[in-house]
Amino acid sequence: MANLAITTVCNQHCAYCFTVDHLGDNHRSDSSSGEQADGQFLSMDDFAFRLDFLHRSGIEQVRLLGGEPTLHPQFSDLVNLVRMKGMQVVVFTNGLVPESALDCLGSLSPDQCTVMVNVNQPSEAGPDGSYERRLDTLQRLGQRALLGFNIYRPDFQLDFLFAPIAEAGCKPAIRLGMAHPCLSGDNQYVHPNQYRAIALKIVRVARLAADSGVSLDFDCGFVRCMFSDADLAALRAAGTKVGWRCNPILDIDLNGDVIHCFPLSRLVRLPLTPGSDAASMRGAFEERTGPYRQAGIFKECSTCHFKATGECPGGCLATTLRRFRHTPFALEMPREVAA
Amino acid sequence: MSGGTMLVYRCAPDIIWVKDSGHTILVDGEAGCFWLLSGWKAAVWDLLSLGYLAEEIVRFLALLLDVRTEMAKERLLTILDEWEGNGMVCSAAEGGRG
Repeated sequence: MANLAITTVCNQHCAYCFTVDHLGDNHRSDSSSGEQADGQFLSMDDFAFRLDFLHRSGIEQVRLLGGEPTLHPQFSDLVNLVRMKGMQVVVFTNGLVPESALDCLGSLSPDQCTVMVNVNQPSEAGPDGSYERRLDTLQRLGQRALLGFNIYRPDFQLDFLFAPIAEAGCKPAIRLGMAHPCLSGDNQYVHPNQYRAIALKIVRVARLAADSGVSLDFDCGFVRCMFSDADLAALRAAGTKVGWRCNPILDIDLNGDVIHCFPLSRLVRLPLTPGSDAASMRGAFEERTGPYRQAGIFKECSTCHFKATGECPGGCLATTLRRFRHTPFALEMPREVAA
Repeated sequence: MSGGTMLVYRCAPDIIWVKDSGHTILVDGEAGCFWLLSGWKAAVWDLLSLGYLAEEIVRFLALLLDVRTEMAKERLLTILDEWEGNGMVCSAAEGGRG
């Protein structure tokens, strides 16, 4: 898979946003006043170039993100281009979607289009009416919508989503993510010392979700050791799709740089060229990040049997990198030097 | 004819490191390589990063390895040379006498 950033403009300000290192300073759009921020939008030509990359890489799913991708003034045209090439559309949105974009997405069948609606707690929904707008988006999208939730504090709640999922007829699942740090450190994220408490919460929530016919689906960054064997059994009984992964996503930014993932946008960047293919790029990222993966998010990761056997990669690489430091020591040593 | 000089060893600019339960991991992101230090070598790196003086590190090594001070100094010089060859540290001369 690969994610295409089509804009840096966003009408939300999530504390955990992992694209802050790539959004820049002037990316905010005030959705209530309609005032447009000085962000960037991907041109149709550049978008077509990226589609060609996906197509020759054998990737038939086009994943759009931003900022808020539905704010792109040519959003419908971009989606139509994807459909003309017979590819599937996946849109990552905060749910505050303009009418024209909703109409466009609503015209596609659920097997042609998935809309990942990332939702925050109602108390953090944004400006007045934002939560209700999202509910309306879900109603309009129905089966196309899959809800996503990012955990960035241990006291998270998910039960407020169960009723809307049922009422709107969305996919009966919640894609659960852990908020990861950007290398700049300018976003809120979950510290590994909170993982165990969060794991216990997830188990409780998974049971509640299952009672409402909703399953949880883990995104990247979870680790095996945050759950006991009993926790895992309970999660699986509740229909949770567990997974421990951290691997190159291939996020393509507006400048045509390919990055491992947005939290690591400052680590290594590869240019997207006419000859690029996804498999080679993934290999290149894995080679470049391999040395750092000797460590994990915990100091015990380097001696953990889950990591040694490859069952768990040791957590989010961006989180792991925050453990590393450079120490500018200076040791004076008298040496005998031959003339 | 030979002379003594004062060398200053510094952490190479592209080296970042982390101390794990099993070993200390050093990474040169630019070169794409890593090293795993354990035992007394990891201890030396620790002491370097904490700003200990050479004579303090030598005294610690002598105790740790149960060797004479002269031998500990040799070990320190040897490992610094090895690390410089690997690109983990770099050195520069400061003053000298002939």
